[in-house]
Amino acid sequence: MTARPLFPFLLLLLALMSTSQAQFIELKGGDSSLFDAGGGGVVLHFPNTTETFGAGIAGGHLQFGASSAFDWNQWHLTAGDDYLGLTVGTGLAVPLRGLTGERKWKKQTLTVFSGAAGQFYSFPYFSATSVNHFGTGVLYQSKLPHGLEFSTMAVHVGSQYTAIGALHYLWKELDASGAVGLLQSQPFGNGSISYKPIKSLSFFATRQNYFFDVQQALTAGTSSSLVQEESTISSVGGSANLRGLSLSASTLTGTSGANQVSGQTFGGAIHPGPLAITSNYYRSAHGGSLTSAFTEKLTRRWSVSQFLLYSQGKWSLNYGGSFTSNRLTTSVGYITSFVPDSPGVSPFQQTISVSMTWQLPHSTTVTLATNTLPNGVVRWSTYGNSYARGPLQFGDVAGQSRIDETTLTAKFIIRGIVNDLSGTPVAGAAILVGKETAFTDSDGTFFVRFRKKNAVPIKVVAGDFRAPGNWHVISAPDMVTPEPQDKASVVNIVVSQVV
Amino acid sequence: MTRELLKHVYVFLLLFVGPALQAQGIAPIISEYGHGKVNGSFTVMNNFLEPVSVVIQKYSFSVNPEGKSTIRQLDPSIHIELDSMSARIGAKQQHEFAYKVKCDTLPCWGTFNASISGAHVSNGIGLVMIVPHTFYVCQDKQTGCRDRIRHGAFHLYK
Repeated sequence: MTARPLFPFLLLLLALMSTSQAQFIELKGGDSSLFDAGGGGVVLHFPNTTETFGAGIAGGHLQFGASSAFDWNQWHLTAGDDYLGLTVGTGLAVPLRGLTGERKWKKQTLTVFSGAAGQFYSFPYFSATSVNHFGTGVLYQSKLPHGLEFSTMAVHVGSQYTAIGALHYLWKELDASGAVGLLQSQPFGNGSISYKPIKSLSFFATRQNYFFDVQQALTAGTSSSLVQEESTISSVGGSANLRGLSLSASTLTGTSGANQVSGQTFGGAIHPGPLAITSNYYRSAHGGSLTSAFTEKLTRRWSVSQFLLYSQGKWSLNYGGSFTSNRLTTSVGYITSFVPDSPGVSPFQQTISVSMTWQLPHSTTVTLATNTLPNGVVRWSTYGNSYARGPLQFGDVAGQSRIDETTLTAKFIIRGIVNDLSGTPVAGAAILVGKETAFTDSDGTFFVRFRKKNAVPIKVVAGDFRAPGNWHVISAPDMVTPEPQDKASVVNIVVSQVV
Repeated sequence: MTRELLKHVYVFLLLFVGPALQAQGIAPIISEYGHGKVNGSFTVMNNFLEPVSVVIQKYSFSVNPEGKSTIRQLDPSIHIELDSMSARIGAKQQHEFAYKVKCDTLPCWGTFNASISGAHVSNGIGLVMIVPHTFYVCQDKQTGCRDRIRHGAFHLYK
């Protein structure tokens, strides 16, 4: 076995050994045909250190990452995977593996790095870095007088240099930023400006460079190679808000390799009562397309949408909507993107997205999503994460961690009050009523709503009180029956603090 | 020649879509309602690494012309119905509280204080963080309700 495949397993072993000492543990994992990647990670939070481990298959290859972040004197140090990020005037991140140090003063921040640099894999369920060249770099950020902010980054990776200077200027309603220099020995320039002369009117202009690694193969199935490609998107536009009617227009130009495309958008939105109507017209050399969405908010939880699409001489009607509750959030919708690398077709492309997110007990969240791409191919993603208290103690100190669904339409209620032996209300007492934990307010009172009038057990959870100290129960009923709201009696509970 | 754009976000350039950092707290902070009808909600977010408990308490408040606010017990002319008055929220999760308000006289206003605390402690100090959600109810239109109350009832003009 070579050293490279062995390394991720050593990292995993180290992660498992460390969990027994961690204060908080975050576990995450997932798989996605959209990202073509699957894997997992663990983040261990110690009192003074944060350890991050991740491993998975991305693009058919095993990738891994690990880092340890801690403070030393006045420096914040990261050993392992990190990145140098320049956010002023652009969005630029250089993935690194080595030692990174950051020092902050009142208005200045200095970051230095030495080690190796390469490619970054970042997914909702794991992060990894693949390095291939020695690298070193420095990032300096400073806040200057008169609303100016200055940043500069210099990086040497392999035989290539990156040297970028960026400036951000904010004055009243004018917001301008720009970044120029060399990116991997290639000329680079990004910029944006926005101006809001009055509250209901704004204008903007942007120019952004995007860089991708493109897999290139002579024929399908043969060995492929990665080729770096650049896309540039420039846009100019404005928006106005007139008595609840929002209007917007923009023109976009995109280049990707030898392919150059352009397009214009015109849109409007209005919100009469519970209805939201948005309509956008997209115009390009391949014709025009119209997307209109009518969304009705039926209840606090439910909304439905109709999407009326016109493209290439054809009308189509599609349906979507969303449901939001404390346990489940789900939505079906359409997204329109401007894709410069789309030879022969309109650069405005529609994607159907379906997503479901569950908030489960024990601080666990699971997401399932599918995306139907413009070519009809369906891609799916599923991932989740969970938080635990170390060492390996999930959820709460006592009782269950759960998200309960109660609504204002529930007809029955259990009300109660918690006092101590002297009759003083106890704030923050934890009462398990049926399956739901209620906490008392500053008056010592609590209530829980129910849909049905069935008796439920009631229990004082002394180990879960918000109030500090040790508590024990003097008197409390074992069972209670929900009653109609206007007739509900008050359940009396007496507790005592152990001195 | 076939070309397939790699799905991975390799590389050295990432577009930061504005770090959507959610602060520990509550959203929305302020809600305005028109025509005397209130059927609203607010969401408490837990960005801690462990579960928290939240207790909601309702209050009335006033603001003097100098801008200093005073909080007090809920006025008896304001009738509030909450779907739940407390909840436990898992790490990095959120919980929505729904409410209805009826006021004997309009305009009216009030605030919900969400007190957030962590795990039980036997010894020492239990820390509680309080974040408010404030509502304003007007007899006429919803838009600008808060400003009209600030000008009319609180005599604040800025």
